[in-house]
Parts: sequence; C-alpha cells; structure tokens
Amino acid sequence: MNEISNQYNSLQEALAGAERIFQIMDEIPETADAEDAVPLMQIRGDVQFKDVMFGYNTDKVVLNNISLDVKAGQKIALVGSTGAGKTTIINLLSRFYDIQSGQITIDGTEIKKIRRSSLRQSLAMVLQDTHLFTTTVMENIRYGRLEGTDEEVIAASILAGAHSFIQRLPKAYQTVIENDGGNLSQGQRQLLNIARATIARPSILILDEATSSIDTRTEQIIQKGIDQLMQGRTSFVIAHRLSTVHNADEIMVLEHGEIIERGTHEALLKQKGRYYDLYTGQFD
Amino acid sequence: MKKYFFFFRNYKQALLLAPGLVIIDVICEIVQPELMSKIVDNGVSQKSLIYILHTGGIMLALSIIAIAANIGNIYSSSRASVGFAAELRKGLFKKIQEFSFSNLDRLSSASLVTRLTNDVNILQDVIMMSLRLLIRAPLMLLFAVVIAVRINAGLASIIAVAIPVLAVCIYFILHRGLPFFEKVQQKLDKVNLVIQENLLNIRVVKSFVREDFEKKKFSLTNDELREISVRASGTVVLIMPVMQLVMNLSIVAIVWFGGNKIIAGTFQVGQLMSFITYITQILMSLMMLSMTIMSFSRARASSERILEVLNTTVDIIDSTEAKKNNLQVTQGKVEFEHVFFKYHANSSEYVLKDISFTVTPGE
Repeated sequence: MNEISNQYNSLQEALAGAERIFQIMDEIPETADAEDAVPLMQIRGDVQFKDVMFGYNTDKVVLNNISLDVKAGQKIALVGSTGAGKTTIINLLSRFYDIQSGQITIDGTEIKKIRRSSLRQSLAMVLQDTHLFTTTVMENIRYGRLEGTDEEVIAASILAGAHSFIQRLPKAYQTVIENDGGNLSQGQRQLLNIARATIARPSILILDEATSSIDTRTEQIIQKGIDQLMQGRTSFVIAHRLSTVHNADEIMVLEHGEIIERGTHEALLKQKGRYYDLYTGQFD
Repeated sequence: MKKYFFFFRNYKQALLLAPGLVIIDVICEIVQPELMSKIVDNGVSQKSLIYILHTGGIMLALSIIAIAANIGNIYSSSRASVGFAAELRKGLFKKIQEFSFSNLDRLSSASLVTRLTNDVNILQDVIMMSLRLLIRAPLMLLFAVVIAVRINAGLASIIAVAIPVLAVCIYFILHRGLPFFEKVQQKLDKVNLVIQENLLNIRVVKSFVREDFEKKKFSLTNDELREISVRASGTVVLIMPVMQLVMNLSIVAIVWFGGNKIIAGTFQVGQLMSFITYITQILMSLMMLSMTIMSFSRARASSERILEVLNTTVDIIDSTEAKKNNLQVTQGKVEFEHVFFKYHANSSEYVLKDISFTVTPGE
C-alpha cells in the first residue's frame, strides 16, 4: 500500500508528461510524396509559377496570382518591402508549404509530382540568418554534400571566398564552431554558408538576403563568389540592396503579395514606377 | 552550500518545521515494537485484557500522532523544496540576464537550459528527500540501536557485524557509480544541443534534405545518453539486493541465536519479535541513509553545474567609480582612444587594433 501511494505520485507526473509527448506524436507531419512522384534527373532549371495563390492561413492571402516564367540559367531578382511575399515565393518553390491554387513546375513537371527529397536536393539556399552546427568548419561546409571530399570542401571555400579567413582560424578547417558560430563574425558565417551552398552544386540557387547583414566591402568579396556560383544556374535573389540585383535577367517588384512591376533594371528605371522609387530612394 | 541558503529565505518556516515533525514521528514510531512486545509478554501470557487494551490504546494514539506528523512533514518539505527550486530558477535567470556575450558563449545556451530545468529539478528532489529522510534515518537508526542493545546486548552484537558490512558494500557501489552521474548530465546537454541546433537550422536541414543525417546524429547522442544512464543506474541498482541480503542474513542469525535463548529460557518470544522489528528498522534506516547519500552525490553534479552559473563572474560590470559617479550622457561626444579588442582573451589576433577616433555631438 505504501509503495502504491508512493508510485501514484510519479504516475500522475508521468501521465502529464505522456500527454505532451502524444501531442507531438499526433501532429500531422509534411504530406507524404504522391504515389506517382518522380525523382528529378539532371534538371535544367526551368521554373514556372502559374497563377499561384497562397496563404499561410486559409483566411489570409499572402501571394495572389503570381506567375513567373524562368528559363534555365536565368537570374531572377525579387524586390519589395518587408512582408511583400518575397520569401514566401522561395518557401513555395522548396515546397515548405503547399499552394492553395495554381501550379508550380520545374522543367515542366509539377513540383507536387516530384519527390520532395529530389526537389530540395536540386536547390540550395543561402539565407540571411543561417545558423551553424557545433562541429568543425570542414563538416559545416560538407553539410551541403555529405559525400564531398576534403579537397572539394576546400575548393568550394576558395570559390566562395571563405578560404583565406578559414586558414587564419586557430585550427583552420578543423576549428570547432561553438555556440552557433559565436566566435565568427556575421560575414564569416555567411561565407561558410555560401561555401556550403557551393559544394552542394545545386541546379537552382536561392539567395534570401544573403548579403544583407554583411558590410559592403565583404559583400564585394563574396559577391564574386556568388557570381561564380550563379554561373549556369537558375538563381533567385532576394535583396534589399538593389545594387546586387541590377544585373538580373528579370526583376520582380512585389507588393502585398502581387507582382506589380517586372522587367530588366533599365526597363524598370524607365518605367519610373515603384522600382524607380526604391532605387533612387535607397541606393547605397 | 552557503549560497543555497539564500534561496530558502522565504521558506524558513517550512524548512525548520519539516525536521521538527520528523522527530515527533520517529519517537512515536520507535516505541511501537516495544509496546507490542509488552502486549505479547505481559498481556497475552497473563491473559490480561485490560493491559492489552490499555497498551493497544497508547499504540493507536501514537500512530495517529505519527501520521499527523508525517503528513505535516511531507507538506512542509514539499513546500520548502519546490519553493527553493522556484527561487533558484529565478536567481539563475537573473544571473543570466547579467551575463556578457563571452559568458554566454562559454556556458552555451543548450547547457543553460538544462541547468535551469533539469538540474534544478534534481536539486529539488534531493532537498525534498533529505527533509524527509536525512534526519529521520539517523534518528531511527540511533533509537533502534539503543533499544535493541537494551533488550539484549548479546543479540545486538549481530548489528555490530551487519552495519559495517553493509556500509562498506554501499560505499564501494557509490564510489563506482557516482562518476557516471556527472556524465549523464553532460550527455543530456549534448542531446539538448542537437535538438536546439536542429530546430534553429530547420530550413537548412530541410533544404539540403538532411533529415536522415540529422536523425542519425540525434540517435548517436541519444544512444550515448542511454548507455551512460544505464551504466550509472546499473551500478547503484546493486544497493537494494545487497541490503536485502544483509538484512535477511541478520534476521536468520537473530532467529537462530534468539531461538536458542528462548529454548534455554533466558529470552521471551515477544522480545524476539520486537528485536526483529528493530533490526529491520535499523537496516532500513541505513538503506534510506545510503539512498539519500546517493541522491546527494547525484545532485552534486547538478549542484556544481548550477553553482558554475551562479559563480560565473560577469565580465562586464560597472566599476565602483562608475557606480559612484552616476554620470549622464548629456552631449554625446564619443571618443575611441587606441582601442584594442579581441573576443576571446586567448585569441591570437585582435579584431580591432589601435582604433582612435572622435565623434563630436551631433555628428
């Protein structure tokens, strides 16, 4: 009896704990791949959005009627104020969320019919705030392609412009990154992320404010790496700093989830619309 | 230890009440077997119903007091330990707010989370346990030994053998098991770290399709935690069987020698009964004591981790001069004079070297 009454307490605690665990277990995970989902083979990188409509909640539309037609190898810039829906487009392309209506295709195949792993493997992202893992610099870069050799890691770092600072670290490539790269500067962390994207050899590259938190001088250094990386790849660039996007094949200006202007840098400037305002107002 | 008293400051009453009630409880309980033996030896053998009822009544009254004291003890020790834990968490959190970035880098956020939750809980449990057992067990032990010796000094010599044997066994088991408990906490930190980094980096994980890689990484750290936990409890789990063995052997010895004495007519059945009860109480108390010691030493690992946070000297603090002056910025002139800086004292390169500039107000 004594034992039972003692155990009763722990049982009560365990039940409360169990409930929280079941809550996680009952959560519905990402929808499984469709039965007929195919892997992507050697994709060229044509990307199409057709009348895409999306909202994170069903009651609030974030993207409305978005249509894009990107040819393989093109560089597309997405500009617009915060909350305009730039990052959402990227999220949809990676299929982090499913769209409510419309169609997104890569090389003509609807992304819902592509195996998610294969779709994401063909993309690489460099985000503004990418966190690092507690392991060596080498392994952090290799995260982009696990079977990459040490030489490939170093080659990728050279291309990304990260090599020289890595060599100045106490143990170079074997330096352990601790506490989310607290011992590195923002720019250095970003260089590692770019190296990580480089080694992944993606067909489609996504740069979401990749250089926004870097000073202009460092930006110049890594812009060279980024340009190298973009060679022959379809790339989506989201940037506040319009200086980094003026050489894009097409610039999309988004506002309130809609594309309000599109065209090349020169064409948009001539149009003297929103882009012109943005460009002349905040060019730095 | 001293540092911790501060966190009891609002729970002094409960902290003092708990052991006081334990003493009452022990006294009420310890006399029970002796009263019982008197009922057998005096009441039953002389067929005196009045004596049996009278003594039985005393036993009943004592039991009720004991129960009340015990409930009071549980209540006040819960209050003190839970209150202590809340105050300690508050103190730790406050300390963390004062931390500089290099303090945070050194302790790591994953580890701080474990320290504030899991480690504090371990301390809470051990305080609860000690308020209930730490005074009760030795007191019980002492009283029981005294009474056992009084009943029959010869038989009590069995205790003199049993206690050292048990004590030595427990010492060796704990000595082997304790280092593992420290490692358990470290591995728990690592598990937390992997989860934390995974969640922070989830977009990277998903975009590079590294879910399987992450799962493997997690199960590796998870397995490490499991293994070290199993090894830790694997060593201390021996305490209970060893204790049972010693206890049962002692009872066999008592029944053997005591039985012979009864046949010889120098010892009574009731006395033998109460003697067995006392020796059980003695060894039980010893076991409780050892379990408390065990959880104490487990908690030592946690305590060290908590004290490390509390004792970390915040490396950016106001100098006494700054505190005294209470200067206000009125104009906003900023000057850097030959500033050298590096993030870590042991870094070879300076991040800033000999920086000097002046910014006059309004610039």
